[in-house]
Amino acid sequence: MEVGRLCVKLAGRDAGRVAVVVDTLDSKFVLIDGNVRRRKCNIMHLEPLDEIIKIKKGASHSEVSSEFKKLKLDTWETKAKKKTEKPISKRKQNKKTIKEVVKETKSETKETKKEIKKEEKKVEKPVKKKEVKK
Amino acid sequence: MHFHRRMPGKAQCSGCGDNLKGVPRNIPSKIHNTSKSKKRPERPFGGMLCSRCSRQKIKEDIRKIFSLK
Repeated sequence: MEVGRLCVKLAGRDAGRVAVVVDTLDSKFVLIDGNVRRRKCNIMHLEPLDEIIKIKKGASHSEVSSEFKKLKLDTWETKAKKKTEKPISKRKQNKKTIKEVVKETKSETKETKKEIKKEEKKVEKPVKKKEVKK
Repeated sequence: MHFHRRMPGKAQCSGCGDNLKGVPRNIPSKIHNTSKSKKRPERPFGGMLCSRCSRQKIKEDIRKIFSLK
């Protein structure tokens, strides 16, 4: 298994697809790219093919894809995941914790007491009429 | 006495005949409610062949193309 050899993957989700050896890590493991997700793989899970491609050791994904286009082969590309907020139902949006409810009831009683005191103070003052001096 | 249906048997590999892994065993009305990825492994020949038989089949297909060249 040299750098640049074409092979077919036998195991996993990517089984049956064509890949290229990019780097050798061990006597057992190998870096893989191509029509397959870029990661390390066991040599026992690969079946070598006839052809060898000219690639540098540790080539990037874009270089591999340009080489594959000449042979009319596809490459596997992943999109970055968008971060979205967790959806909250309407019921939970209006939900209040126990502390908040207790605070509101306490503050309401205080406010109602103040209002009652104000209303009691507000007595209609008698309107004084100015006497016109003749 | 309660009316109790009998459970179906386990799924088997069409190549060698061993019991398949990753396929749940239950009444069809309860299997239909689950999602698709929980009924079979995510692999070509997922619910049909065991892992050994699927690897052998891919090897044979490639070696035929070798001999034709």
